[in-house]
Amino acid sequence: MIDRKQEQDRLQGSEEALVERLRQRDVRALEQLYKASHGRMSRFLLNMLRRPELVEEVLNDVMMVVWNRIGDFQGASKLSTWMFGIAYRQGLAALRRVDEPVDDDRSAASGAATPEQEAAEGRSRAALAKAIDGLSPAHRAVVNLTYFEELGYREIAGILDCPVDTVKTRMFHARRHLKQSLPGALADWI
Amino acid sequence: MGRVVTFLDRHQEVQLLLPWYRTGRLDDAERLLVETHLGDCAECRADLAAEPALEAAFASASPEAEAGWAALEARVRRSMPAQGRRARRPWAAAGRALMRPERLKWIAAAQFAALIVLGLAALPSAPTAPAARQGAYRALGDAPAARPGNVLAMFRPEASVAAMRRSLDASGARFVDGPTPAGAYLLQVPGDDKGPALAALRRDPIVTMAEPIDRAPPE
Repeated sequence: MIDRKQEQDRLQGSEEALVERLRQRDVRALEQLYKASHGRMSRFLLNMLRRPELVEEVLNDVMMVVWNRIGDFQGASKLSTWMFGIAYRQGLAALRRVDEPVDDDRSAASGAATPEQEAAEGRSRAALAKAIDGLSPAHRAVVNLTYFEELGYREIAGILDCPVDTVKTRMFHARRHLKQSLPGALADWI
Repeated sequence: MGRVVTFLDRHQEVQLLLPWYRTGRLDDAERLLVETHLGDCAECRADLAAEPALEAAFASASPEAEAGWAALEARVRRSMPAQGRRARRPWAAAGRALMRPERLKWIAAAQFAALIVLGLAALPSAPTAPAARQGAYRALGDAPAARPGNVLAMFRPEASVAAMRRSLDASGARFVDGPTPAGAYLLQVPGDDKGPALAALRRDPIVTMAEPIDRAPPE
């Protein structure tokens, strides 16, 4: 097994050096951060927004905030955690600009088709995508950070700036919504 | 007066914690609570068993994006004219040095030679201009170039998407397609020598199979 502690120490050291270079307005440091974080950040934004055409623009907005506000980063959390918080807020702002509903309490079941309609679609990936589209951006952000970033609910609450119980219930409702929207064995849908 | 914690209370709490129990992100007390309850609750055991399928369902609907540093770099540089001018000062000094009269005649000769070279180089390269753009900025909506798969791999059913991603990162492989009905994934390993990537994949305990598929197997 990989020595996780050693790896974390090494990453922390390189992260501190990177933050210092960003504070000194080193564009190459921003390029390094952009390329290293592009995969995770764009996946987060794609999952949260479900609007691929917005992702590159929002990601660039995020990087501009990082570039201009790096002085605000105190190092209390990981740089990526700070960036996810910025990405979440920039993502919501982008949805507001295009008049997309961003209400956190939007019904998790809205937008889901009936089981009969889904069967008629041949249990396609489109139906799966539609079920995920039925979740709010906030629900999808929690799912992304839990499953794909493997973050704890407290850290996610910090990123989304909401109570920890909200994170837990969003995750619960997202899972329940997907199970209810995709009847039969889940494995058949994947 | 303290309230009696019922089975239902614990059940509801455990239902909320299950995703983080599976990813190992609970503290000791929470983990103990979940494990104690799992022993008594078939519904929670079934929900825990369904977690990998839920995660895979979300992952399968996650598109990928390509990096576009060039556009961002242009935006950053536009936003920092003062810094940009400072950064260019060494070049300005070099430029002033080159403008000294005794060097100008050599510069004029060099420019003439460069024009001839550029002119010759431009003629044959014109028809292949689109090919030269490979690797340039590509918008999200552009159709990506098809990537041929050259390795067939299977992962343990309980492997998380994050673990699969780490495995791919470690080996340099990328997903091309899958899962197949049998649960296998088509991967693409760059370069001619797939040996190191295959070895890295096979070393990973979550990988149950990794085989090259350059040639179709005999019927």
